[in-house]
Amino acid sequence: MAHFTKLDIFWAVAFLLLMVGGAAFFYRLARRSESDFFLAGRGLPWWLPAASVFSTHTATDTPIWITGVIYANGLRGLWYTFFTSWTAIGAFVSARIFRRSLAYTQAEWQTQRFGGLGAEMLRGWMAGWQVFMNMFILGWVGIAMGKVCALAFGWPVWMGLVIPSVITAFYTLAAGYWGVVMGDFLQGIVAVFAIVLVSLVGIAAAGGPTEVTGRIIEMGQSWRLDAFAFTGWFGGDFPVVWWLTMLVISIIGGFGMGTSIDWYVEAQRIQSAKTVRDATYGLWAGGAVTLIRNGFWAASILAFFAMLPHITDQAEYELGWFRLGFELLPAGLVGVFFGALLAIHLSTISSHLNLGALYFTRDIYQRYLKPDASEKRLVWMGRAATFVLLIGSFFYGLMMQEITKWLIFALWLMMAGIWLPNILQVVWWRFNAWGYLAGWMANLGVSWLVVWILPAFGVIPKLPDHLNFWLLMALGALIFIPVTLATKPENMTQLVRYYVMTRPLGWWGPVHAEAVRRGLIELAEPATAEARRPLIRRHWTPEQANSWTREDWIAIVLSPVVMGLLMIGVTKLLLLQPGGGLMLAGAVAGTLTIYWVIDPKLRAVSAEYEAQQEQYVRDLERKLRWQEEGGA
Amino acid sequence: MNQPLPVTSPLSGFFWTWVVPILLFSIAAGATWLLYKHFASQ
Repeated sequence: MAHFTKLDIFWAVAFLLLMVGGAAFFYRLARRSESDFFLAGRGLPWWLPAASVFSTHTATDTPIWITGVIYANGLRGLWYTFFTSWTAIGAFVSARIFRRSLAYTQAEWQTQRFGGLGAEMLRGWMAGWQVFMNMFILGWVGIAMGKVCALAFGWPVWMGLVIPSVITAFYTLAAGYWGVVMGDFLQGIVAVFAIVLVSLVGIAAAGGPTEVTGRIIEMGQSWRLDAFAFTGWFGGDFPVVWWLTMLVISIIGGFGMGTSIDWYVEAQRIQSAKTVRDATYGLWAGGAVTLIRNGFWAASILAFFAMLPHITDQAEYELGWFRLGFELLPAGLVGVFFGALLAIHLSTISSHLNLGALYFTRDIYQRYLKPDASEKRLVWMGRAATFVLLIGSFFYGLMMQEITKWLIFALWLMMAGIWLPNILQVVWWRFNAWGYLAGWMANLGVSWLVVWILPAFGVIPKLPDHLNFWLLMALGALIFIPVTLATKPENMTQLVRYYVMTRPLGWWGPVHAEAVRRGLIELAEPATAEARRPLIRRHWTPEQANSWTREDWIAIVLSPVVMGLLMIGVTKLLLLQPGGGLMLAGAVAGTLTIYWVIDPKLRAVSAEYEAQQEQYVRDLERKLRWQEEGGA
Repeated sequence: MNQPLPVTSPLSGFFWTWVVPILLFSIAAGATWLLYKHFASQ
């Protein structure tokens, strides 16, 4: 498939050595403490987590499946990639709340939000599930790389699975999250260069944008150039209901934690940011760059389609974007392109190795096995866990063919049935650990019934996935809402402590009132003062900045619109379609408006919070080591 | 067998074969070195 000259091999090896060496170089910073090994000491400016958010949203199989949906569905396939837009609201809501919690992992956050036995059960379950999931994802992307190497070099699949992963484990073991995030930044530079260059070369080779769109219209397939080519409300390949469901899952999902499978890996990036403001901008910029990237891919895949429109074999057309790179770049750049593919792969492998090791070290080993472990011992345990994850991923990778169908089902389950509990845990004070656990259990039972068993017996028809989502959500709510209301709320002292620390959005009235009564936060301003405030406040007191106000809602409403305009605008502009430039200008104006409105507030929140962060960190460490009265 | 793309590369010559890869490598390596110096001193 690919023709490599000696020069190409030289550049591929040079970039590989740069990426591995550059990341391993940070070994000296990672060995200091658990916080350094897993969070880079919470000291990163926003653009480093942003590069890492982009890199973790770009895996070896990403250009394969995105090529598949665009080749088959035209530009409306872009919406399959729009699930990334959970970062639009997530950056301004869940990222702020999670960063303030100072939790290393989602499992740890849940023991702050919930208390008692239920919370510990949740933490153990979540940590075990995440160790397993990260091992599975490593096997999954490892096999994808095995296939790419089989095509490029004729290697057996296991070599492409094992060799790049072992190379990545070298710097991930040595430099921990410092290596991961620096590797992601370095790999981000190379990957963005390759994605932009190959996409532009593909469009130019096909005769330029007007030639591409002209040829597709000539074929009588102009629907491929319209991202909104719906096939009716409910029927056909692309019904409006599917599109609306996708928007709800991703955009409204930004109010919760864990509503997207990417949340768990991005939570680590959020927590590694220097301040609340850096966490917000890091997640937002990473999501925005990812959607812009999708626009570049989509335009160039249409160019590939215009050149070779009659491929029917999915496995063949899915490699379309790779072929643009391997077949159209000159000698030298083919090696750089393969180096970029390696970069994309290394960043995915290193992220999941480090994240799986974090869940094991922080939430299982340190919490339950050795609470008084020293920092040095925790770093070594992190390395041992990284190694075990690596070996486990090879076993998953090699049996992937047999288990894929079941695991995709399990992944989907994790998203659909607990989507609502994942939001309620953030926005509703009354939701408790038993409600969340009931949501998980209901999810496991109800999904088997709805997706497999009842349709098999003809009790209900086999529904498409987007309708199953609504059905599973409704059936789950019929179980977890009554369980929540039938059991006690979480302990008020625990809730007040969590509330004062994170200042969550939503229905927290009774907890807020109790926090005011205990003198832990100031009383809100009287209504008369509120009426006199400027339309957009430019100067904030700490208490004003900690409350959710109209400035936050302006950002929350504008942000998803900006992300949609960015993705579609870039695609249209690359294809020189009417409206592309206007949409992109709208996206830039929207971004500047959000920044102007929210930045003074985020600066005030960050400054106020940083003053208290050190004390919070000390309290958390004591809690983790069970040195607090009453244990948890 | 895959049908080959019916076009040839629009890029060729010394600039794309040598200058661009060297430039990209230098930018990536330089950025990493500056970051290391910054965080190590911090």
